[in-house]
Amino acid sequence: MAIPAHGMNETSPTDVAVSVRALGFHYDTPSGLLPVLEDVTFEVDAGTTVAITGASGSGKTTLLSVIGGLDAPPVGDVVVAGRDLARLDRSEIARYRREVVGFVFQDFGLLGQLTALENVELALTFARVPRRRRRARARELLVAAGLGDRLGHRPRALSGGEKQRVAIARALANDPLLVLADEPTGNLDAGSTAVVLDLLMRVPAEHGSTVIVVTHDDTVAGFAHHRLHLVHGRIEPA
Amino acid sequence: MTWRDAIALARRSVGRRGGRAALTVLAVALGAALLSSLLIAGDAARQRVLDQVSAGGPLAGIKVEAAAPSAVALDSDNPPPGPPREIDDAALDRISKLRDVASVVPVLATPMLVVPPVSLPAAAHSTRTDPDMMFSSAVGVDLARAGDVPVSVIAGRLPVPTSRTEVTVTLDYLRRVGVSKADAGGVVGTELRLGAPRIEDARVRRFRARWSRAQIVGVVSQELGDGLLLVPFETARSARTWSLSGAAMDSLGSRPSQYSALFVVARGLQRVTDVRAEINQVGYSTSAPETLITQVQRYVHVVELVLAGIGVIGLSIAALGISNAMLAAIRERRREIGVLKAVGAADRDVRRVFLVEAGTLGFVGGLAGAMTGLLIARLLAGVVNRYLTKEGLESVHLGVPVALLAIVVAGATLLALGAGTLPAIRAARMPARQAIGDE
Repeated sequence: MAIPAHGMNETSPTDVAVSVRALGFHYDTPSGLLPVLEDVTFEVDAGTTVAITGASGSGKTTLLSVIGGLDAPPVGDVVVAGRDLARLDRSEIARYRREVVGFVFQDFGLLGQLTALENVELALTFARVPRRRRRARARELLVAAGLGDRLGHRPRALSGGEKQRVAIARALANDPLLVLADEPTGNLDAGSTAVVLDLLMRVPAEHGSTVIVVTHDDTVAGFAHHRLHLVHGRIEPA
Repeated sequence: MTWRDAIALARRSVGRRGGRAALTVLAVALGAALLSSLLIAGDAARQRVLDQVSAGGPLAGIKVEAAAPSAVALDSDNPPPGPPREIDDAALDRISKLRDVASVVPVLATPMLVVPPVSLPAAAHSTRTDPDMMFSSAVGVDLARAGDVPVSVIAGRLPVPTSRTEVTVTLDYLRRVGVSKADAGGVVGTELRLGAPRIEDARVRRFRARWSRAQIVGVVSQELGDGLLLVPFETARSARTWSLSGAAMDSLGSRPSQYSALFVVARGLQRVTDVRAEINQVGYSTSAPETLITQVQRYVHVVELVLAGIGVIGLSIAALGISNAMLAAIRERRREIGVLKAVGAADRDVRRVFLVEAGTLGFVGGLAGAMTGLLIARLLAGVVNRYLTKEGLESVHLGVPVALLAIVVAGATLLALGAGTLPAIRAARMPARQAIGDE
């Protein structure tokens, strides 16, 4: 299965895709500030895969959210494809998520009222891609993901592995520079995990995107080019 | 995201949550049904009652006597008339051209001998005590303009305006023949002998009458003049011409005026006082129930306030229902909102989807409510019409007020958009991470 590139974000394999400097993050709780990330610094080269590992509560998902523009970085700098996320306003950050990032969630994040084809189209809908073009693109991605016979199925009619493949196809619809996957195999059995991992790990080679995968599974992390291990919000040697 | 895409997504979202959407639509429909039925019923009531009162119906009418105005009590509702003064076509024309005069209907009363049938139908339950022949008056008016004069049909119908053989009798006739108002229908269809009197010799008060037969086609309550009969204008004029062709008719109480009175309708209750003053200046005595009119105006205002209040309550209930449903939808769909934002939806895209959903629910609910409201109004009209028919009054006619229904549907849609705005803004402003992480 080869995921076709769309050509919206072109990068060289030697570029730095993500640069995180002295990132800190905390949550306001009734009992005070709860630090989640502290002085996190790293860089990710374009076209590589990085696994972020760590125990539950170590800050993996928060780090992914900040890089993906779902949370603003309160301390430190996060620069993705030349964009300093701390300086983007609400509309610019929405545009960033639309054009630069593709998300894959543990629970798939598919809209139950839409078919597989329409779920993949959704990302292109917000980018105002004409209907015919986005439908062709969605079909192309789903066929490449081995779901050519599932285009008109709603999520409830798909298996877990199929749902995650739809989610990966949706994440790639806008030809993003960066694919962020949060425990993409967390809800899958061994067979589906293998298929999804194969699909995801081939994205950099076939698509040119950088992939950051959050996982607590060492097997999954073993497929990545690089690995970052978080302990209590700090990066430590794996 | 284009509006078209937002509509498509909203349609799918509404379809997926059929139960909740149905409940929301029901809430809107109830409000819209209440509003539309009130508006339709209110509109019919306004046309049937309020407009007649406030926009120039008989209650805004002024009776002009064939007499000069009295020097005293000009402000009274029923001042004593001054000396007799003829009302002719010139006076009729002059009064018709006064500002704020909506219509002028001439009235002609003529002396009449009335002989009721020897025996009335059993349905009349007559307790007759009066003599067979009664001397009174017949009041003639152009019955084609019956809507402009204070005449209410209690039983039967009005005569055909051009008929010379059909008459209606008044409540005074019922009293004279011993029939109660409840049994008024019993006299309809009976035949009267009518005699137009003419003095042959004033010295010995000898008179002769020109006799004719007429059928009673209805019983009326009227305020145009004293008399046992209300007849077509030409019937009265013919009888009067005969009576005046004799001698000394004044001794029988008939003055030789071309018209015995005029019934003037002002353009609205507010104009009654001014029009009365102008007619007095023309030189005629007038009477009008201004005290009653003032009271009616107060009641009309109260009715309008009550209707408006009920409508506002209905609207508020509908608005609360929509707003509550949309807020609940947002609580339910935080995760979905988060996903939309994660795949690139801007705040305006999320806002647009929720507004379109609210508008769709409002439109569908408004349409269902408007149709239900029309049905309710028709059911109400059926009940009211049964009562009106029983009382011998003209029934209320409800058409299909397309414009009004369109306003209700548009109003419900706008209301839904208004009620959905805050939830939509809240959904749009929801931080993406919070939305995704809350499930």
